[in-house]
Amino acid sequence: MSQGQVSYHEAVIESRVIQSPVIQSPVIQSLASLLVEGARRNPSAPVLVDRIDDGTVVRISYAAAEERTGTVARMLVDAGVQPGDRVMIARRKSVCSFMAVHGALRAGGIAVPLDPLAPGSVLQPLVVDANPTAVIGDPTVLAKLDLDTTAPGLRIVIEDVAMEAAIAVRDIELPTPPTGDAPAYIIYSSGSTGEPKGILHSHASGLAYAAMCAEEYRLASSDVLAAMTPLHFDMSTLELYAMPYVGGASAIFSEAELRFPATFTDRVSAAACTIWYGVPYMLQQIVERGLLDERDLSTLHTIAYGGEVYPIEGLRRLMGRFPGVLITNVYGPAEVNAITHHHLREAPRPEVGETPIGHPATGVDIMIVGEDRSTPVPDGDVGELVVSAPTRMLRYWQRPELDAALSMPRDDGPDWYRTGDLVRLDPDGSLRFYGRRDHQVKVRGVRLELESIEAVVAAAPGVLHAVVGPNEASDELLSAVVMRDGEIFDERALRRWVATRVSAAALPSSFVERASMPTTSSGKIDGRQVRSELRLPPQASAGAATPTANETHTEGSEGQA
Amino acid sequence: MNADLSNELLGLINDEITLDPSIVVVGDTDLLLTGLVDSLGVVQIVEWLEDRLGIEIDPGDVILEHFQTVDLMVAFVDRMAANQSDPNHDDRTVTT
Repeated sequence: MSQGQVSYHEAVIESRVIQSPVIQSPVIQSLASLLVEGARRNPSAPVLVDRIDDGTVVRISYAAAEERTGTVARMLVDAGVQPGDRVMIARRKSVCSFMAVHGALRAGGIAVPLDPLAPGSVLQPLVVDANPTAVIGDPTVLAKLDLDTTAPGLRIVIEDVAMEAAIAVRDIELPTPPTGDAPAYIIYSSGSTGEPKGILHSHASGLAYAAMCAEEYRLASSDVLAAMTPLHFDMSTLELYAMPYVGGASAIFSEAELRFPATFTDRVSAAACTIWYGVPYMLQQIVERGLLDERDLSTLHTIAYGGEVYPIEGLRRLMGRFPGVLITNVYGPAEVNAITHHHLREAPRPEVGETPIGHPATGVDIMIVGEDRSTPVPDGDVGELVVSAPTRMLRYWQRPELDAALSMPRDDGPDWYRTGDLVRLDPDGSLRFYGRRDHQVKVRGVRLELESIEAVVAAAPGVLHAVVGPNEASDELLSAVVMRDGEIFDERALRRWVATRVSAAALPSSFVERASMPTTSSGKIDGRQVRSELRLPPQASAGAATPTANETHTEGSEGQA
Repeated sequence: MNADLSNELLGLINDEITLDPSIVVVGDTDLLLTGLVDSLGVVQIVEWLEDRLGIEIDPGDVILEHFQTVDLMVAFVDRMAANQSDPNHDDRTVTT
C-alpha cells in the first residue's frame, strides 16, 4: 500500500466512486406500516407459517398479525412508551417475538431484539446501554436480565398478550407511523463482551433493505421464507421487513428446530418454503445431516447465505445437492445491511479461492481505500471497502467516537461507512473478499472481536497471557494461555470461568497451555503467530509452540468433533 | 427407563458441559433452551451415546423429538435396544 501517503484531490477520489443506479422510492414509508398495509392489500394472505405441537402447520394472516401487533402497540402506548423509546424483545424465537418487534415499531418505539440464549452477564450491559422503556419477554429470558422494575425509566414488562389486555386497550390511539430517519431498531454487534455496540437503523434504511431484497431475489407474495437466524442477528431483517414488504410469508422455527438438520428439513418441507436464508455453518450441517434424499423440497427455488465465508468444498456440495436452485452469496456488515450479492452460476473450482461477494446492489456506491481509510487504491489493488448506501444505519447507539471514526461525510448521498473489510475489485466488476481489516472474526455467523475475548480469558484466575483465534475449518474459537508461575492450568475451570462472561459463540472450544508467547519486534505478543499455531494439530506445532499441556487436560466431552 | 444411563448423562452434562453453575439440568430440562447444545453440539452428544452404548444411531433419528431432553434421549436408546432384538421392528415408527 505504498500509495497510502499520496494526497489525492477530492475530484480524483470522486472519480473512483463506483456508482449504481438510484433505488426507487418505496411506496410504504414506515416499517410500522408493513403489516397494516399488508392487511389492507390482502387480509387473508399468510405472513407467518407456524407449527403447533401436534405437528399441524398453521398460517397466520396479515389481518391477524395486524390485529395482534396493534394490541401489543396499544399496550405499550398505554404504559407510556413514547416515540423513540426503546422496547426490548427478550423472547425465544416464535410467532410472538415477530409480533413483539412489529408491535414495538407500531408504538413508535425502537425495537431492540436480544439473544434469548445469551447468559445474563452478556445481556445485562445491553439493558443498561439501551435503557428500555418496555421489555417484552418470556420468563426464562426475563429472569436473566435482572430488571430493576422500580427503575423510573422502565414502564412495562409484557410476558403475554391476554385477551383481557386486548379489550382493555382497544381505544388507545396509535401514533402516526414514523418515517424517514426516525430510528426503528437496534442490532447489537457481536454480543461477545466489552462495551455494547448498538447499530441504530432507521425506518428509511430498513425499508431500503426490504426494497433491495425484493428486487435482488425477485421476491413475490407467493414466497415462503425459511427464517433460519435469530432476531438479534441482522439477517433476520429479511423475514421481519422484506417478506412483509412484498406481501410474502416467513416460516418461523424455534431455536431447537434450527439445531437439528433433519428436523429443520422436515419443517421446511411441511411449510413448503421457497427461499432459505442462513449462515454457511448451518447450511453445511443440512447438506451433511439433513436427510435431503427423504424430503420433498420441490418448492425451493433460492438459497441465500451470508454472515461468513462459505468454504469452497461445502459450497460445491451444496450446489450439487440443489441443482436448479439459485444459490446466492450475500455480503454486508450490519451497519449497512446486505450490499452485495453474488448469484453463483457454477460450482467454484477449489483453486479459485474464496467466492466473489458479487456486485453492489441497486443504489449502493462503493470505494476501495488504502491504509489511511480515505484514499482510493489503484484499480485491482486490495483495500478497505467503503460504502455509501440507502441501507446504511443512522448511527451507532450512543457511540459518537465510533461514528467519527467509521463515517465519512458525503454531500451527494448517504455518508460513507468504513466497513473494515478488505476487498478487491475483479476485472468483471465484482468484489472479492479478503478478510477483516482488524481482528474481528466471524464464528458461526456471529461477529466477534478477538481482543475483547482475549481480555476476558486473560482476566481469569492464574492466567498471564491469552490469545484467541478462529479455526476456520471447524468454525470454532481456540485459545492459548500462559499461566502465571506456580499456577496450575485447569482447562475445565478456565472454560467454566470464561463461559459465564462471554456469549456461547465467543467461548473458545478448547484452551491450550503454552510456556510463553512469541513476541513481535516491538515487544508485543505476536498474536498472528499464535493464532496460526492454534489452527495446527498439537503435534504439528509442538516445535514452535512448546505446549506444556499434558494428557489429563483433554476431557472426553471436549474433543473436537 | 435406563436409570444408569440417565444418571450418567446428567452427570456428564452437569459436570462437563453446563458452564453456568446456577443451571442444574434434570431429566426433563430442555437442553436447547439452556444453551447446552451450543456448547457441546448435537454431533458430540450422538457420538458419546454411540461410543458409550456401542450402537449406531441413524441420521434420521437425530431429531428434536429424540434429543430435546435427557429423558427423551434415554427413552429413544431404550427403544433402539429393544428393537434391535426384534429385527422386524422399525424404530422410526415408534412414538412416545
